[in-house]
Amino acid sequence: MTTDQLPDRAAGDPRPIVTPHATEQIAKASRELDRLHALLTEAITALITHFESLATLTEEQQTVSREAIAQAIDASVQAALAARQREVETGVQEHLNGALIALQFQDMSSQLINHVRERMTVLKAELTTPGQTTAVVHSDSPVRSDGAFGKASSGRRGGAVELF
Amino acid sequence: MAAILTIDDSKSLRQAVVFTLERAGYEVVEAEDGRDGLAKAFERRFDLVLTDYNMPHMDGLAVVRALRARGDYIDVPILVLTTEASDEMRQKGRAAGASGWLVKPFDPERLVEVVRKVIN
Repeated sequence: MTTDQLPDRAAGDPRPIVTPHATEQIAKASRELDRLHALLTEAITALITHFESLATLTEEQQTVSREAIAQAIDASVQAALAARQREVETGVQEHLNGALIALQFQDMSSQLINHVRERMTVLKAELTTPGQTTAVVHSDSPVRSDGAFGKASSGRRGGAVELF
Repeated sequence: MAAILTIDDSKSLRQAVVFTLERAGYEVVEAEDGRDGLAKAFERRFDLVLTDYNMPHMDGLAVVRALRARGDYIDVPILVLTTEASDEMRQKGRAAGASGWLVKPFDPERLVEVVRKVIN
């Protein structure tokens, strides 16, 4: 549809603006969003399963290391190894927590995909019957524009907490 | 062992909550939406309820109101864990009877701190 073929709304032309090609593109985009959602769900299921196994095995490894260090005959060597062990455990715990925060991406990305789906439904309706759309679309994104997984200015990661 | 009910329509989010709180020594039961959550909450009394806000069938604030209307949940802490971060939503949560408002993604250490504080 060229510009001179577009319906003249001011003259009361009720013909829809959307072309069959545009309708097809919207339908394809919707199917691709569904596929993206399925891919993310599949990926997060595998990631969380591996994460839980890694966390459990890491704990077991730490127990083995602590027991081995306790067997050391030289007290100074034992103290040095124990100090290093504590440093490593602290580091591992920090990374496990960071990973657990990052693994929550699927929940927020699913909400974003749902918002895009809703907006596409409204867009299609608006192009077909302008001004007749009554569907409600979320006004805001569920995810902060500055990202959701970095460290906050307070040094803490994750979202805000308020107790009433 | 204190028992916690986590209500969220996202399976991955529930898994993250269960992983975090079970390692902190709590028993955690999952519910996949507000209706499922209420059914499980009425089967037995939990020591804390952690609910999402945006869910199919029944949103988190409706869950809070329904639980507060029951005598056995008047004093039980109910935390809302959600992507909704606006002051307006927080105030709605408070008015509904929520004990606290946590914005996703949650920090595991912070979640355990908060849970310990409100349960004790």
